[in-house]
Amino acid sequence: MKKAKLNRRKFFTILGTGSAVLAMNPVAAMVPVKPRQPEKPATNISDAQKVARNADSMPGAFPGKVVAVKDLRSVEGDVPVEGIAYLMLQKSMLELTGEKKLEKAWKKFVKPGEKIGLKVNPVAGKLLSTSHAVVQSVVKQLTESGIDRKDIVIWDRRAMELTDVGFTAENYPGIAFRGTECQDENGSFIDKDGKLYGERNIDREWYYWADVEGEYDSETMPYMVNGGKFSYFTRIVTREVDKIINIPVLKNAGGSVTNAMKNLAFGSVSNTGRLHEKLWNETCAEVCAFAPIRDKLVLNICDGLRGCFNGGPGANPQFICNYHTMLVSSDPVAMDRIAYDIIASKRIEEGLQKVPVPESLTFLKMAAALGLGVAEREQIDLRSFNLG
Amino acid sequence: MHKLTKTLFFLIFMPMAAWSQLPDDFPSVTQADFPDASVSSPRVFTGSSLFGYMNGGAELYLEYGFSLAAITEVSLSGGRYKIEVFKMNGPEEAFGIYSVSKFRCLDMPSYSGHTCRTSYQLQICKGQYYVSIINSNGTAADSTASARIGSLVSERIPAGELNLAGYLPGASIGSIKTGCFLARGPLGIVNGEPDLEDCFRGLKDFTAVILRGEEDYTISVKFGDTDSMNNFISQNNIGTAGDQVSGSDVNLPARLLSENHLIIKKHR
Repeated sequence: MKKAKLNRRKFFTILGTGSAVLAMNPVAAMVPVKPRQPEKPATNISDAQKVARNADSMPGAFPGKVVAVKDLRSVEGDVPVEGIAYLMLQKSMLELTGEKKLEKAWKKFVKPGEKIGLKVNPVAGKLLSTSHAVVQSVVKQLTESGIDRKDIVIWDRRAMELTDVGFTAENYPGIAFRGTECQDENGSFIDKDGKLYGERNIDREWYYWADVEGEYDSETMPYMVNGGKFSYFTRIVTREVDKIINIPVLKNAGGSVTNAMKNLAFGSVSNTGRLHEKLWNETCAEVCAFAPIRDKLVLNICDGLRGCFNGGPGANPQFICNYHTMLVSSDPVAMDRIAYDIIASKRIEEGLQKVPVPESLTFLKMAAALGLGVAEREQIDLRSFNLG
Repeated sequence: MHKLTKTLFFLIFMPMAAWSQLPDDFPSVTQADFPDASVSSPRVFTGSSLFGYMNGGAELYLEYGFSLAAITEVSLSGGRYKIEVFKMNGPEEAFGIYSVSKFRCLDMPSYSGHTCRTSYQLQICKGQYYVSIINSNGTAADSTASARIGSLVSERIPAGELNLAGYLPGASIGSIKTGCFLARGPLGIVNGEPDLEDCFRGLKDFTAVILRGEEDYTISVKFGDTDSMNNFISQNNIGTAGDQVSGSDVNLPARLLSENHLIIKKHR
């Protein structure tokens, strides 16, 4: 078979030459057109920019700098190893900050007396949650740096998912746990007044508005908290924590990446179901531009000890792999760009795609345009280390 | 919504949401099936409440057409098994989600026409159901237990009609089982074969059955209407008049299988 040139027009061939079919072929008169770009619904992103930035605003202390540490000992029998995760985090923190002492490195981001929120990602359940190896290492290094355990909060959208994967008082004594959506001890999402518990946890003063209506049935509403065109920020970020340390898992989302930005954006607001289809990219970028996230996020620690290369953000076991990698950065945009390269490389190795397509990372371009970080690979200062 | 109305709404409907029941004929497992095991009560999700189980992962199921899911956990002989039974809107929808979820099957046990076993997961597509049984340790004992569970669930699923031969005339059953996927929208395409994303960009209302050959894809697409098909044709420059295409096998139009149903080949 003669090889056609790399041109979409030349890629298409026929299966048959049936004359009757050809005779009714409606193709010949067609004029090639470009794919239509659907019109995007409006959002209130302009509101985000009305609040002045501060010294901590994204992309934080080290814009465009990402530390990647790999250690093949970090996963044994498909279980992350805490002792190795601790060393990887230590190396990352020292390299990111240029400090020689770990305590000084951490104090570039947090101070004793501040409420520190650790945003984990348990959505894929026990199979692929932010690992305890990494979270325990973060807690340990924070406390070694003078942060009181009572000032640390592990949080996510759903309290029940935190519990399911083992973010419990038993495993983390003295640490608090918070979820926007939650149930009572009887498994009910509603209180005695007929209101969702989740409603108490949203802050109606802070919202991401988008011209897409969220319409949910009664079974879906507990997971969305509210419908309509407003996605309210959780009080966890608006009122309860002073600093956010973001600890996502290294996962794909189709041919893209779901890591730091997605973990923050979709994890911090209500009424997200309406946003996936038409505004996935916009939401990942724009929600992070609002002050409660933009000005409180200080550090991103990507748990890539284990991750997935397809089927994300859910967890299909056959797509889960051991990347043995941790990424650390104050800049979530730069970190997501590096995360994309790792995932794309794995997908190519596994035959799922032929070449990287970083041009498709629309949400990173949007985030960069909003001043949230560095999206261009050549502008990112990547420091890579192999520990073992 | 008025406050009183809202309160009444929740008081009436929310308890139903919290304790949704499965229809009697839903193919799940119960404690009675495994007296020697611990079997959890099923967590039930309908329609868009699937967001409550898998957040953004639900979009793919909703794109195909999803009806009801029951998630049960079984602890059996030292192993833990998560059994996810998804009732899709029809056999094509069930095959679609199965086809983009399987990967490098170790073998294909014969519980139904379409099964895929890997160390940590057993997947079954039968009728309008997609079943996933995930184990914790990936051992031979886990595979045996998963097979026991899978066989039981499969027996409770009525056989449905899935005829992909209509999409891929002449293709062998073996090639359909191993190298074929079905998409109903952009997420299905991206999960099944991301290199084809551009071909379907911006298109809706289609069912694409795609067979991966060694050198090319066979792409069979049934559109909801002629406009959608014409958009696909024009977007991909298929057989346009005056097409200057090199190669002996490329200068012919696509073939229509029936009204609004097109089949083409594309080099990989």
